Amino acid sequence: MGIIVNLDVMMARRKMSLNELADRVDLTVSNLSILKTGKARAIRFSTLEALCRELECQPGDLLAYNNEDSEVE
Amino acid sequence: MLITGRRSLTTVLRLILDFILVLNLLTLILLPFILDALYRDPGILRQLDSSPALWPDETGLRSDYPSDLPPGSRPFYLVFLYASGLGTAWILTEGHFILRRLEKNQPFAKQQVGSFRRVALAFAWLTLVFAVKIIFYNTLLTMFCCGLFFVLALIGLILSEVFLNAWQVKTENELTV
Repeated sequence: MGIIVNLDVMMARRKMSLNELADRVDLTVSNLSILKTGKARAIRFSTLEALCRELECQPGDLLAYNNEDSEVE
Repeated sequence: MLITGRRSLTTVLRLILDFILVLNLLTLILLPFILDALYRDPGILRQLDSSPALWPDETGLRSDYPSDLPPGSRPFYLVFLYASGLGTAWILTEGHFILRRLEKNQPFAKQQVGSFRRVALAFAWLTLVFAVKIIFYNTLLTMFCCGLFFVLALIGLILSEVFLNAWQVKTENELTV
C-alpha cells in the first residue's frame, strides 16, 4: 500500500496513548491499532475528522503517499 | 426457527446430508455384494426401468435385465458406481463443511470459496463419469444426469466466485476504520 499512516508519530508528538485517543474519537482500541499498524484498507472521513480534531493536525499530517510501495501500476 | 446459526434449519440439513453420506459410504463398502445380488436377481432393478431389455440371455430370449444392464456388464458398473459414489461422497463432505461454517455464522469465510470450487470439481468429475456411461450403456436418465451435473458444476464454479467477492468485500469492510 502506497499510503503510509503516521498516526504513531502524531500520537507521540501530542503525547497521547492509544487508549486515550480511542476513547476520544469513539473507536475501539483494536480498530485504532489496525489503523496505526498500517493494516487498514480504508478510512472514513468521519474517523479522519475526529483524529484531526483530537490530535490538532491536518489530514496530511496523518497520511503520506509513498510511490515505491504503491500497488496500483 | 433460525435459518442459519446453531440449532437452525442449517443444522437439520447438515444432519440429513451426514446421514446420506454415511449411507453413501456404507453402499460403497458393500457395493460388490450389492451388485452380485442385483445380477443374480435383475428383476429388482426392473422396477426402476420399464423399458424392454435389448440383450438376450443365454437361452436367446429377452431376459429380465433392464435395458442398460446387460449380463456381463458387472465390471463396468462396479467401476462406474465406485467412481460416481466417490464423487458423491466428496460433494457431501464439502456440503458438510459448508453448512458447518453457516452454523458457526461464518458464511463468507475464505474456506467457503475452496469448498465451492471442490464441489464444482466433483460435479465435473460426475459429468465425466456419466459421459463415459453414455458411450457404453446409454439411457435417457444417464444423459439427463450428465447434463444436470454439468450445469451444477458451472453453478458451483460461479458460486465460488460470488463467495470470493463476498469475502473480499467483507475483509475490506472489516479493515475500514
